[in-house]
Amino acid sequence: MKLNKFLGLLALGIIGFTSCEDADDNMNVIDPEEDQEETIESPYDQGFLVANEGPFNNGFGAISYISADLSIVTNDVYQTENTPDNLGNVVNSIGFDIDLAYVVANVGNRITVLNRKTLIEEGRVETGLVNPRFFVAVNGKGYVSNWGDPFDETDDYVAVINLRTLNVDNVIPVALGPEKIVFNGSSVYVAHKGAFGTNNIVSVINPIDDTVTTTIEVGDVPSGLEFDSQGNLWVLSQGNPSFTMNETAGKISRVDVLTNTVNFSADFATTAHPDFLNIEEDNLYFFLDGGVFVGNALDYLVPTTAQLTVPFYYNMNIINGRLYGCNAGDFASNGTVEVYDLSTNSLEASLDVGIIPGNVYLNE
Amino acid sequence: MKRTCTIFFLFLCFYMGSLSAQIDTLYVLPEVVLSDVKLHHFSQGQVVSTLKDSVLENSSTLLTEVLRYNSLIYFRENGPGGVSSPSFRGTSAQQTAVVWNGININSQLNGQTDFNTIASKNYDNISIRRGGGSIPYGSGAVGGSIHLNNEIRFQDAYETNVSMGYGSFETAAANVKTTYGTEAFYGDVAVDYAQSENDFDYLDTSQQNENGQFENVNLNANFGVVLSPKQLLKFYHNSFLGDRNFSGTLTAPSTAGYEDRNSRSLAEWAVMGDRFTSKVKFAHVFEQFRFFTNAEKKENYSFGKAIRYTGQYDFTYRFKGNRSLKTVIDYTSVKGSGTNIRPERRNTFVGMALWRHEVNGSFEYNAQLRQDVTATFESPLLASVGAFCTMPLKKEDKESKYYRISINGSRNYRIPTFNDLYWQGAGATGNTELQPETSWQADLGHLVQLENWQWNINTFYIRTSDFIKWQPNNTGIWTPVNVDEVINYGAEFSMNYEQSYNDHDFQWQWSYGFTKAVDIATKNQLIYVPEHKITTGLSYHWKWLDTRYQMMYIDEVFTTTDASRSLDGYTVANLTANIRILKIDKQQMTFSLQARNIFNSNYQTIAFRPNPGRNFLIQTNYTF
Repeated sequence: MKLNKFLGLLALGIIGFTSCEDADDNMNVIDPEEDQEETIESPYDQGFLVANEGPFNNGFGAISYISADLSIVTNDVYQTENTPDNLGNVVNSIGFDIDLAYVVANVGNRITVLNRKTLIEEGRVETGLVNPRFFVAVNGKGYVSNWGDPFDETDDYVAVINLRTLNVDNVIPVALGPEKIVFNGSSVYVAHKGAFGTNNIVSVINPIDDTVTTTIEVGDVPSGLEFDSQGNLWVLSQGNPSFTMNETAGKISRVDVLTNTVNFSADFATTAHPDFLNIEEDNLYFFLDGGVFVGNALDYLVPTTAQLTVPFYYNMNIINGRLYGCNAGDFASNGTVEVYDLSTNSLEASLDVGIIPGNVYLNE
Repeated sequence: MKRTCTIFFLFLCFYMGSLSAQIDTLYVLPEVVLSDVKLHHFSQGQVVSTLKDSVLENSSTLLTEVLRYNSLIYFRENGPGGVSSPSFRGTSAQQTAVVWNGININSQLNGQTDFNTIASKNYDNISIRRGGGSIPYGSGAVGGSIHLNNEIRFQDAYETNVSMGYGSFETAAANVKTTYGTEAFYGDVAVDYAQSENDFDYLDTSQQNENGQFENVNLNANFGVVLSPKQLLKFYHNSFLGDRNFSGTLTAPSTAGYEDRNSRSLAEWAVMGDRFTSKVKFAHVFEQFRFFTNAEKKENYSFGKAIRYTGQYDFTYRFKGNRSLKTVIDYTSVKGSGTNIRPERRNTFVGMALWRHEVNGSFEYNAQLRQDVTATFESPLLASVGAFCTMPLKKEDKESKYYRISINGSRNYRIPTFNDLYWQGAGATGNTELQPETSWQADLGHLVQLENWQWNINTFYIRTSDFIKWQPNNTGIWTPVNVDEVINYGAEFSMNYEQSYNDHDFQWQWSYGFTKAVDIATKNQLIYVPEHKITTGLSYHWKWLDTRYQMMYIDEVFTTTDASRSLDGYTVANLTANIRILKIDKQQMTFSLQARNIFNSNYQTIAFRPNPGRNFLIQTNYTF
């Protein structure tokens, strides 16, 4: 869930809730130097890591490990491996780079660097981050979207971290509400979901000189960024919700990354607000009102019937033909990850994880 | 509803009719005029306890601090000075009403009162009324109500009291109160100031409480004028200005700030006859907050405010045979707005009737009805019945040794707030279809009064339906719904013992609360409701010396709704010594030393928010 919701709830006098936005994403960076070496003792290899946000303000986020065959779930693995420490408040997302995992604590303003196989801490970034959201690694640098002060619409930025020293070496000012961030081998793309407000652009950053080269107008409230097999960038925008008093339709847009222009887009109905974009093997998935819809990214027609009906999820991730639904329950107790086999649309497992599971990542 | 109104108006006509037939005898004004008659005359069957002056004098001025050690109410406090909300008999913060000189001052925006915005030293007495009280006190009097009262005294007096204190974590406190009175006029003005850097160390860590500084000013002014032997004019006012930063937690830093601007004014014109009392009241209540995500950048904030006007007519007729009927009609108009609150106005018309009958010296009962009418939602008809019966334990000594059994049953409510109805913000939206939460409740009490001892046992049961809960809807937007059913039940035991030998006075007070608050769907105890709470206080007084030891034990509380995580229980103890260093005529000066958390206990009332270890406050108090 998002920080803005939290602050909103805080202002409402609801204490003890949680925060934040989802974010799926296998942040598997397209990196030419894939690490081939197997490390020594690697208890959390060959399975999945779940980022649990944890309670807002009064606690910390946690990582759960799920074995590849879904038979073993181990909660609070960071605390187990790094006693008596914790990951900081509201673990929004994890970014990966070869052997390392970068765990982003949104309210804690912190990134914890872990060995992704042992989950033993290797370092921290504790300065230079203000409401960090998502991380992507690019050739020895880490790009992190930051909201800054959510009431200040002009102080949002992308922090550039030197991954060797873990210092924030550079700050790239960007428009309001940077959220998801991805890299395609040449450019960094940042979706401006809008933080407390709304926005409708994707910023394109050149990682050679760390400047914003262009911005691409998409639908309102872009929440999903995914590449298809042809290298096209797909952007799913939720549309403005009704409480903005300017409700707009969700939209799906395809960006040609050579020209950085939108070359296809399709609108949803005004009151339809799709979310949780995933692309796997050119199947493009999204979630809308409890339904999971799938279409072919190479020949796209907006699907009108759901392949699968699921509970209201906080997020969903599609990994190797399975859907991992993050069910946060009442947001004040342990959640579950519900796993569906997408070839049969059947529920395979319901796994007890931590408070507010927000993202499931393949770890191998 | 229509029928209720009709009956009510018939009552009113009947009074007016019988009035003219009365030949009023001269009504003698009492010297001390109560601001809230209902509290004393219409609470049969319920426990009303009033905190002693010595308790108020020896506590921090913050109401949280006073009630935490002197009642069974549990507080969820975001650190010292931070937002503090009560849980009375295991109920929610919105189910405890705070009543200021007879009017309910719970926020129109969030339905609760922040107990760290109330300066207890500015009130003459603070009472705790346990159990349902929605008929006299309105929305939220479910678990119980806290009453802040100023007294108006028509007697010759001119007195000023100044107290100043300084304590750990750069805490400064000051209070000045001046009172002037004659047989026909009364006036008092009180200013309370509290400030703290509040940068205490978190015990057993290298961290400290950052961004927790606060500064509060509370101003109270009260006036009374005797217009004629039968007419009285009263005016009460309170303003609160609070500038607080919201401290971080063990895992989350904070830069947030919060400003409160609250004011309450009440004017009352009373006409008293031999058999009747007629009162016209007007109240104006203003509340405004500003929330800053960065307290250094005051230009960026979100705000909310509500302005309330109330007009009330209150007519009490005293029949022969110690029977009286009080009828009240009340019209309230509230306008709320804010960054995330759609501007709306809510007008409410209320009719209530309260019947009281003192059958004889040992048996009294009351019966009460209330109906609210508003376009916003459907209000339930509220009803309450209470009685007590006193039996002397010794025939020749009815006053000091007796047993009393009390019983009360009532239906109460908590109305949806402006946030609940009209919130509009990122990821959350209000619900205009909401209905009030309603509760049925019962209370059975036993009191044994002996010469030096007083014993109290109370058992209660509350069933709340349509409990308002914020949860994500099927598009992920948080919205409030009338969803849960909650049962609260439990028992309260208290004991008071007083003994004097020559100049030595001892007092020992002890209380224990057992509280279950169960969500019927999950069968789990609600979060932040301790099953057990114990408070105890031991006082010793000798001539110029006054010492007091107080201790509180709080049981483990769950912090998640599935009872998977909890906070440990804890014990905290305080020690106070007051030394009177001057007493000449009216002049009196005392010096006080307070040591808090003397056993340096590391405890949390909200998860990941540690409280201060051992800390001190020195204070001088001068009356002239």
